[in-house]
Order: sequence, then C-alpha cells, then structure tokens
Amino acid sequence: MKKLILLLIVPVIIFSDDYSYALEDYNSTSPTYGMDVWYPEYSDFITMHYFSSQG
Amino acid sequence: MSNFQQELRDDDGYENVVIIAIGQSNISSFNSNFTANSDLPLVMDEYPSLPIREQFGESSPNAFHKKIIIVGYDGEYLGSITLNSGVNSSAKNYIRSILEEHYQQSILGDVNGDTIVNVQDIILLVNLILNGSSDLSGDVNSDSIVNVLDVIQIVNLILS
Repeated sequence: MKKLILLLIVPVIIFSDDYSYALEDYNSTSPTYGMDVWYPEYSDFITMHYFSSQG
Repeated sequence: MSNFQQELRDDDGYENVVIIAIGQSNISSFNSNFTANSDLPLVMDEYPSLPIREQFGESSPNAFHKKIIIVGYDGEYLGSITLNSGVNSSAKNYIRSILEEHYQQSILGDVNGDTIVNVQDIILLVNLILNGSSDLSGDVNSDSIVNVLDVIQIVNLILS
C-alpha cells in the first residue's frame, strides 16, 4: 500500500516544478502576434520570461 | 532586450531561444512601452489572480519586476536574474552560461526535439502546417515557410 501511495505522489513532486502557459501574444510587432505562446509557439525553445509591473 | 535576443540568435547561434515579456492585464500600456519597438512576444498576466507569477512562486502585482526566469525545454527551472541595471555584461554572461549548459543544437528534421528524426516529426510538422503555425522548427529546407516541401524533405531524410 505504501509503495502504491509513493508511486502516486512521487510523479506529482517531480513534475510540480514544471512551468507552462498558453497565452495570446499582444505585441503587435512580434512575429507571433495574436498567436498563443509559449504553447504551442516556442514549445521547443528555451524560454526567458521577462516580468514587468509597470506599463 | 529585443537586441539581446537577436544577439543570442545571430552571434551565438541560439536560434531556439525566446524572451517572452510578461505584463499585467490591468495595465494597458505594456505594448506601447514595455515592448515598444521590439519583436518580443508579450503576454498579459491576468489580474488580480496573476497566474503566471503564481506558478513561478509569487502572486503579488510587483513580484518579479525586471526579473528574467529561464525555463528549459521540459518546463524546468534553469535560473533567474533581476535586471536592476539593465541587460549589462554581467547579466548577459549569466544567461549565456545557462544556455551554454542547456541549449541543444537542433538536428535537421527533428521537429519535436527528441534528437531522432522519424514519423513523429512528420506528424508534428503536418499539424504545424494545418494549424498555420509560424514555428520555424519545421522549416527543414530553410525557405522561411513551413509547408509540404518540408514534409517531403523529412521523408527523404528518413529514407536516406
């Protein structure tokens, strides 16, 4: 029983640090304007997420 | 920042690297300021829940201001840096060191990035074409268009 619980929990722990989102690109001068990034566009890229709190 | 992305692609050969600008939905001026005159994709973190910030570990509106979080091919955290002094040489060196360690040179025809060219790449490429994607990972013949000619090229690669 303990093994079963571990089998269920371990994958959750392992994958809980993975990040993702699929949101529309709002930059009208971007090549992916209007498309969903980071999935599917750029899904096979190393991505750098650059945050700003000021418009 | 857009210039730095171009440097990484043109000078360093890191073609499959992208900087995604992340704003907030309650502020409308990000496109005219934050990503002005740039080709960086811009997404809006939905206010007030701010799910993007939340998944990276913070959910306050000011969290991560000027911060870059670098994520690998499988969505894994690779590193982060706050650009209080802009994209200076120290920041560039830090980012380059991460890319040097984790970047995988693409294999011609390996559309899904699993380092093997096979029928799965054809399926993914056909889906990219049908979805009208601009993802150039499937541009096998390097004509800047993803179309049936790339499918033919991959089939030839597999057969050869």
